[in-house]
Amino acid sequence: MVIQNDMTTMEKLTILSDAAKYDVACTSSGVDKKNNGQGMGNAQACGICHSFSADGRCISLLKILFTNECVFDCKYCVNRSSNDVVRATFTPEEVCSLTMEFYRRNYIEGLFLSSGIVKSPDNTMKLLCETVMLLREKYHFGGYIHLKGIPGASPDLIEAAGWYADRMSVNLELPTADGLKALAPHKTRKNILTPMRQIQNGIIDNKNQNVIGSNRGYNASRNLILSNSELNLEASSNKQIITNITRMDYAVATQNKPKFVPAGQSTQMIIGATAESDYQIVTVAEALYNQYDLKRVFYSAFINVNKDSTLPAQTAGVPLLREHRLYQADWLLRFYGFKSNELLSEDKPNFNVLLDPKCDWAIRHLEQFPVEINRADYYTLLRVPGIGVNSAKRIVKARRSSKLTFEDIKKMGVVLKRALYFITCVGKMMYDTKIEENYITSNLIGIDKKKTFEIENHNSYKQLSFFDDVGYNISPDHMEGIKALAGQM
Amino acid sequence: MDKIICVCEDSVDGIFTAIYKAWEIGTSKTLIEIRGIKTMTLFAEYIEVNTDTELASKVAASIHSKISEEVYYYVYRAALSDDSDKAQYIYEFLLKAFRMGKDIIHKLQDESVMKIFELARKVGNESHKYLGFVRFCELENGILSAKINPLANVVSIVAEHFADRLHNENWVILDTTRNIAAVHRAGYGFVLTNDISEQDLDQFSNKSENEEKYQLLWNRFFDTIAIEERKNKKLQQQLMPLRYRKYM
Repeated sequence: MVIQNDMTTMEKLTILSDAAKYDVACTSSGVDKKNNGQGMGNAQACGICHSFSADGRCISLLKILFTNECVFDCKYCVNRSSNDVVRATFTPEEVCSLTMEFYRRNYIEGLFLSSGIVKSPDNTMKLLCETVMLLREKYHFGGYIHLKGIPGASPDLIEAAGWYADRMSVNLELPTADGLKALAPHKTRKNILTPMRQIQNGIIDNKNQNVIGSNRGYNASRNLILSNSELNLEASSNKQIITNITRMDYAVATQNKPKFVPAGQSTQMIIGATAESDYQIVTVAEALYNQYDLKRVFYSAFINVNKDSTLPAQTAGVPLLREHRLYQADWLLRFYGFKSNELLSEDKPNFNVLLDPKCDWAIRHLEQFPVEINRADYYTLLRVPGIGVNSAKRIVKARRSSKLTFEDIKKMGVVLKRALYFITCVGKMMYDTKIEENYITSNLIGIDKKKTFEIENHNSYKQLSFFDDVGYNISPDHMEGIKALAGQM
Repeated sequence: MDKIICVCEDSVDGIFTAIYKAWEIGTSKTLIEIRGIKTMTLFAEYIEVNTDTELASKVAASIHSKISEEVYYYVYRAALSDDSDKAQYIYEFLLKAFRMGKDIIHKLQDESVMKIFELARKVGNESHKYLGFVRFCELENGILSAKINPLANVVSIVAEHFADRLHNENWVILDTTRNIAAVHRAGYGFVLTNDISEQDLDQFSNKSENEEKYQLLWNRFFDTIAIEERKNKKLQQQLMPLRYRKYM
């Protein structure tokens, strides 16, 4: 292992952002907060993209590792201990000044801080906690912070992090416990699910707590971070407009009550490194949403960065189409009222390559169609291919005043070339089409062919963005976009 | 009978003043246009309407009280759009809205409602993009300076966001297409100033000592965060069209 000292910030940033790039979640959504009047920064529930990198992914947060030193040896990870790569470590002050200076210039929405495991999980978690504490209390940063929960770290430290972060995530890494055992020998399913449960409970408790209760938890955590710490919270420069901040001020100013992980938690799974079926993956995601109240599950198409011979060789490239289908299904679970066992089953464990999951479902359930646009309830409309959350809402509201025609719903965002096989307006279908499986399938595949080809050959693959409208072809308007992202639907 | 066309300034107050005047003259015979955008027609009478903030605020107040906040929100945003017919669209929409009340906003099958909805959405989308794409540059006196070149007149929406976010900073955001600047003093609100050109701003634009360093750091971060195996320039351009990158 090469460890260099005396690196410049530029060198560290290069290494530690390069090492962090495989983490998917760069969203800054889920929390609305005003500037506390004393420092810098606020947050918008819709999230804001500040740029888009050459791979078309949104850049919202300064996504870096605190260090890429790591005692773990996960086969898929570029930072594993057995890799001979240059290692670097930030100081907390460096992370803070980068965050503040980038934020002032409006390059970023906040900080996404993850880390390799240096010495032990507890030691690493403590370093992360110290860094965000410094950022909040010395630099008075009020923007978004996404912090990784380190598997195996003590519950006290996980809790401490939760009082300073807006969102936390503990990566599931692989969809099944067996996969984890095979590829990440130092991590166990239990070590991942325990902090996830703890954060979930912490969020629920915090909602029910009063100001005094929350402050007690917050202060205990604060003292824990400060114990045995060399952290210096004194503002060194006189540039700070505010000086005598008392330790309660941050909490008081941010809406009176300290908030525990107010933007909720997320996780991510690597897709295609192990042999799980789509059905297994979707079932796991569904369980995480239902049992752990996760805000988001991210799917990361496996890239064999280590060229490890025990992992899939990827002659066909990165499995982007599969990742895309999983995101489409994820959207169906969260906003469209679908259940995983409606989309897939033991007998049909993988998604159709040619059709998106919603069209696929509709074609297998033709007995439920066509539906009448002017009468069908909201959830029935949502199940029609070509109708999304926004257009369904618009239809439900607009039809109160007068009957809607195909022309009307087209303007409201319905994709008629998909929807026309499944709907009637005032009792009539748009054309004289057959409602017959093979006929509709071949027509819909025709529409999707170009897109599917492009994703597989990664031409114009549309990366899931904040506005996650992929596959539904409706750009949500601003307000509804906000709601969609904040999970308020 | 020939129509009477009320010609007004391209601003929310200008449009609202014209609506007040046109209403006074009679809604059946009046149209509203923004000054200097459309070709004049022969068979119409033109009336120049000078912006009167008092009349404009009367119109605003009655939208608030007689229709709804939501309708005001849509109309306000539509009025910031760069559509050359926006004044007439807003006029037609409001005539219906005063008759029908707040539920009008859901009646998207109505052409004038759809029009306002679309204009407002476009303005909303553009301003939202700028919340992320504005780039401040630190000047030697510590002031943060940014330029934008939006299609719609979104500088006020954008400035409102930064007035909260960068509350304790001095900053200025200049719309170089309209020469309107939002100027913010640390600890206070922002003011909009007309007639500030790009050259005016550039006169005071000596960069601070650290500015170069952070720009380079950011550029490096931007490059390293992309994943080579997923490279997709077309998608990047789709999400961040070139016209936004002029001052990035």
